[in-house]
Amino acid sequence: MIQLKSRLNVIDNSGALVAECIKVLRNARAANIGDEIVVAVKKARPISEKTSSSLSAAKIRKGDVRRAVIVRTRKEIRRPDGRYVRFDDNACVLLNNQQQPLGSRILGLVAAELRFKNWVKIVSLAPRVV
Amino acid sequence: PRNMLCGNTLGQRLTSLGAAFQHRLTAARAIAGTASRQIHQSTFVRDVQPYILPKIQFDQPLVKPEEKRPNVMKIIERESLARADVDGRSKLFVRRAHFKNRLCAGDVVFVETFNSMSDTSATSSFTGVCIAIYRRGVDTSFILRNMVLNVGVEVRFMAYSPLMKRIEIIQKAKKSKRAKLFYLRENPGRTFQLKALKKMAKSAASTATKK
Repeated sequence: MIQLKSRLNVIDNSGALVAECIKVLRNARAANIGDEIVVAVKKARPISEKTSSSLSAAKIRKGDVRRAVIVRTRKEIRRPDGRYVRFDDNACVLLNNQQQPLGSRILGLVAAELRFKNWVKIVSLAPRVV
Repeated sequence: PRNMLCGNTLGQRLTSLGAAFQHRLTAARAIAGTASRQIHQSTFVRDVQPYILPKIQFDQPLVKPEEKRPNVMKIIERESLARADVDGRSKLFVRRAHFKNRLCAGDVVFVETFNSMSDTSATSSFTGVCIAIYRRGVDTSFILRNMVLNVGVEVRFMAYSPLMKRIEIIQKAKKSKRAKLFYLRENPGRTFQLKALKKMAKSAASTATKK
């Protein structure tokens, strides 16, 4: 249940570390795993001269506004057979305007709900899906 | 003693209810049969029921001999539990069982689940420390907590779900002074240190390949 002002860890290699939700792109107050949100980057990895010259994925700075998809929530989510899954943190993956992940790699666990919400690329990039 | 209760009016009413239910069930099965035949014609899927039908296994209601005026809802819950209790996993959730036989908070548990009912060969497994048990008859559930890729994951499993293949205790805990171990989220202590996690993963792998 991510809503306005919720902070999420960014788990791809786009350069952002912490993002804050500023808009839930759903006709609802809160968003769950697999929903798209608009985030403002609150903390990013420092961009040195070396990295800026190389053709890395994208240069995300603190203060950038991007779209993101939620991949882990601390609020438990229900699976159809009655199972509930809960993670220890809230995490997201940054997206571009074509709903493709900005980074080239995903550094952590994602929830299996993404598969059913058609985030195929993220599920295939993720090292582990629960 | 159970046969003596047959003469009881409640026993008669229950058996007649059972008979009426069985009659309606055969009618429902007939409808299901035609529905499945239609499915056969259109999609050529074999042996797929449109919904799961409970098997009536009890000719006599499950009344204990000491119950003189049995409660119908209690008996229905008992029967649904007995029907759902494949492979005797209800022994893990009996409160007064011996410490080494029942599931306690703090045990390391290995759970294997089917991914779907239609394809029973595909399974997924999860291992973790049991941090809570909710004993609610058929709706009995327990929460397993583990660290996956440095992220804590908690999964709450419904014990009698048909998707649960097996539940096994792989390490018994020494008696914790609590029934719910939610403090492990903030204070993991030795339970989720690297050495303990590795041991958990190793015993889970050996349990997975055992059967």
